Amino acid sequence: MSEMQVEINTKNEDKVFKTVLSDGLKVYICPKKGFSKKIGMYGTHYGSIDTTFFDVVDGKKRTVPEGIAHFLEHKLFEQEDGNALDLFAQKGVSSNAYTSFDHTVYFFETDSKFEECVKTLFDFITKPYFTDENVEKEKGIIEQEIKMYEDAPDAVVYYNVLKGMYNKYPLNIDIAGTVESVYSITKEHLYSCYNTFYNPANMFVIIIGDVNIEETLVLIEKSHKSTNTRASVIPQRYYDAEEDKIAIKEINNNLDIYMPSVCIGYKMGKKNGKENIRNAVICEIIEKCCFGNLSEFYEELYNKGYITTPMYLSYESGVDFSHNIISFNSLKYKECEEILFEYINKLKQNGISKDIFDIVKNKIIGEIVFSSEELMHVSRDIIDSIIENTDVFEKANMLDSITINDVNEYIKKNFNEEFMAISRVLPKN
Amino acid sequence: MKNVLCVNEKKFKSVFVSLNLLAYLDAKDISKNALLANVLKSGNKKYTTKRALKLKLADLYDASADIQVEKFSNYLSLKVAFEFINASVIEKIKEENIIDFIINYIGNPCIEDNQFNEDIVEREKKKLIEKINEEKDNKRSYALSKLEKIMFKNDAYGVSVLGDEEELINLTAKELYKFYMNVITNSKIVIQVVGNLDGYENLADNLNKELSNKFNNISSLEIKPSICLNERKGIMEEIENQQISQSIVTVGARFIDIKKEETYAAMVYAQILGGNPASLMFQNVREKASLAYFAKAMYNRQKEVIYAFAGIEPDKYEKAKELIVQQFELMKKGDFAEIQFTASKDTLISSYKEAYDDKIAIAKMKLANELYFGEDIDIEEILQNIQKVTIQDVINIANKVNVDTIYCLGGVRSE
Repeated sequence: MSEMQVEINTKNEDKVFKTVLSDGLKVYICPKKGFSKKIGMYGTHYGSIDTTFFDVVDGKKRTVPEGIAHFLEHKLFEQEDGNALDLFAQKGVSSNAYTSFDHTVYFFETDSKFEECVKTLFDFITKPYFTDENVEKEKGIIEQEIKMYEDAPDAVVYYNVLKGMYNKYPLNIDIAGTVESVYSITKEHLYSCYNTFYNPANMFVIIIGDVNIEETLVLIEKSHKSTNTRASVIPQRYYDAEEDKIAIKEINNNLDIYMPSVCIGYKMGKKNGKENIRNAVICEIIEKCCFGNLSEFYEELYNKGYITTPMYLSYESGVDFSHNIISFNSLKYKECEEILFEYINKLKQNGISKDIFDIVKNKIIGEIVFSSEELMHVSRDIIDSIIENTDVFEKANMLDSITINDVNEYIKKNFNEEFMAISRVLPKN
Repeated sequence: MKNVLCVNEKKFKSVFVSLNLLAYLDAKDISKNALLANVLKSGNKKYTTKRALKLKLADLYDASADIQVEKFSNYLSLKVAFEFINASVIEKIKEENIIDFIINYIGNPCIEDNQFNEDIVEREKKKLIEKINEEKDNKRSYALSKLEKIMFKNDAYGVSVLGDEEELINLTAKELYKFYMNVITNSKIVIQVVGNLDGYENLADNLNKELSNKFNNISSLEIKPSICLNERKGIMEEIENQQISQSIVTVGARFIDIKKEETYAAMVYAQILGGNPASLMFQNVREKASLAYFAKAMYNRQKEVIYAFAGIEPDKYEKAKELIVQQFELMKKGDFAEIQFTASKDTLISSYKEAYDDKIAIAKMKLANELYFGEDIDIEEILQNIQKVTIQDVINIANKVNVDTIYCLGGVRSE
C-alpha cells in the first residue's frame, strides 16, 4: 500500500489523506464520520483551454476543435456494451461529470454501493469507446446544451467578459465550444485528446465520505491496477503568448430578458500557485467588506433601489492567468457602473475599516465550518491544490496571516482601468 | 400536530432552527406574506437596518437568518429560519442570544402609528415586483412556473410565492401591519430544531415558551392532512413566444383520485418516467432521439401532479411534444424495463438517505410529512414503503395519470 500524508484544515478539522501511486495517479481521501453519502471522483487536469498540444502517440502538435474537452466528457460514458451513466442509474446511484477551463471530473454519489461504484468509475474511464455513429448522435444533444446557455444571461455575460479580456489565450472560447465547432468533431480527435490527457500522471481520484482510509486506498489501488493499460506521460500543452492589454473594451449583447446583467473584468496576468490562493482569500475579504451585504456600499445602492442583490467580486486563476470579475444585475446599470468606479477610486485612497475587517474574518471562519457539512465542498479545495500545486487547505490555513494592510495594498495595485473589459447583457426591447 | 419537532444528529457542526407560521393557503394572502417577509428582514427595533442585522450575524461566525414564504399543498408557511455553529466548535453562542435574536427578528418590527414604515414598505414592494419580472430570465424555471400557473389557474396554489404584481401595488403599510398582527395571532406555529443539539437540548421548548409569552396566543388553527383529489380534464395547449435559442416544452399531468398509500407508487412512477438517466424521458427523448440536453419529469406531491419537460429546437416542437406524451402512454402499458423499475426505487431510497445529511432537508421533510400524512413518519418506514411498491402498483398509478396541459416557451417553427 502506498504511504499516505495527512493535511488538516485548522478551521473545521477536516482531514485529507493523500498519496501518489507509482505511475503518478494522485489519490485523496477525506473521511466524513456519520454521513450517509459517499462521493467518488475521477478527474483529469484537462479542460476547454487545452485545444493545442503535442499528441502522445505521434508527438505532433495538434489543434483540435473548440469544446472538445466537454464533448469528450459526454462521450466517455459511452461503452461498448452500454452507457456508464446507465450503469450507475441502474444501481440507483447518481453520477455526473463536468468540464471546466482546466479540468474535467467524473463523479458518483452513493450511500450503499460504494465499492462497486468505484470499480465502475475506474472501468469506464479507462475504456473509451468512440464510434462515428455515437459521436454523431451526441452532436444534437450538445447543440441543445449550447443553446440552453445562449439563453442564460449569466452565462452569456460571463463568457463575453472573458472574450473582452483575452486576445489569444483560450479562455476566450466557451467551454462547450460553438455549434459549428462541435459539428466538426470526429472520433479521431477524441482519441487523440484522450490518449494525451487521460493518463495516470495527469489524473486524480478523490473519495469523500464515511469510509475506512486504508481499505479505500487498497480498493483504489486494486481497481487502478486491474483497469489501467495507459502509459504515464505529462502532457505538453501549447498556448499562444497572451498580451497584457485587453482584447475588447466593451461587449454588449441583447437577449429576451427583463434584468440587465453586467460583468467587469480586470486582467492581472500570470501568478504562481501560492500567490493565486492568497489573492483568492484577499478577494474574498474584499468582496465581503466592500461589496457584500455587510458593506455600506451595498446598503446605499439597495436603499436607492438600484440593486436587490449585492455586487459580486470573484478572483479566478489558473496556471497562466488571473483576473478579477465584478458582476451585478440592475435596471439602473449605467448609474451603478459610475458609482462603482468612483467607489473603487475611493477605496484605493481610503482602504477598508478595521471593524468590518475583523467581522468579515469571523464570517469566513464560520463559512469554512459550515462548508464542512457539505461533502462536495472539500473537492474544490483538493482540485485547486492540484491545479495550483499547493497544500489542500492552504486557503483556510492562510486566513489568519492576511492583514488589513495586505487587503488595502491589493485594492491599490489591482482594479486598473487600463486592463478592464466590460460585458453587458441587456433586454432586447 | 405537535408544536415542536427536533432532530439531534452529532455528525453536524451546526444547528438549524425554524419557526413555521402556518395558515390555510389563500390566494389573497400570498402577496401580503411575501411583502411581510421582506419588510421584517429589513430590520427591527433592536437591529434597525438590514445591514445591522447582517453585521450581527456575520460576527456570530456566519450565522444566518431568513424569512421565506413556502407553499405546502393547502397551507402556506411564513418560515423564519436561523442557522448557527454549535458553540462546542467555535465559541460560546448562548441559547438566550439566539432566542433573543429570533424574537426580535419576527416579533419586534419597526412600527410607527400602528403601521410599518412607509418608505421601507414601498422600497420592498418595488424590489419584489422587480424579482417577479426577473423570473422570466431563467427560462427553464420560468417555463415550469408558467405551467403550474396554467394548471392551477383557479387555485391559490397557482400564485407564485413572490406574490402577484397587481396585488402588491395596492398594498399599504397600514394593511400590511394589520396582516402581520393577524399572522402572529392566528397562525399555527411549528418550531423545528435540527442539527448538533449538544448544549441546546432545551432550545426548542424555551423558544416555544418565549413565543407564547410574546404573542400571547394559542392558535385554534387545526391542521388536517389532505390529499388532493384531482379531476380528469381535456388537454389544453399554450405557446408563449419569446425570442430565445431554445424552446422549452412542458407537459403537465394530474393523478386522478390518488389514495394516501399510493403516494409511494407515484414517486416510483415519476422516477421511471423521468427522474434519472435510466428513465424513459432521458433514454427516449435525449439519448435515442437526440432531441434535448435536458429531458426530465418531476412529481409534485403537494398537488398530486407531474411535470415532464425538455429543452428543444423550436422546429422540433411537434415531434418532441408527441414523444413526451407517448412516454406517459408507455408507462400505462407497463412498457418499461424491470431494471428501470428497480433503479428508480434504489434512486429514491438513496435520495431519502442522503437527505439525512442535510439539516434543512430533514426539517422540510418532517414538516411535509406532518402536513400531508398527519404524522411524522420515520425514515425507515418511508424506505420500507418505497421498497414494497410493485411493478403492478406503478402500472395502476400510471392509469390514474391524466395529461391535461401542454405549454411551450419560446415558440414553434415548422420543420
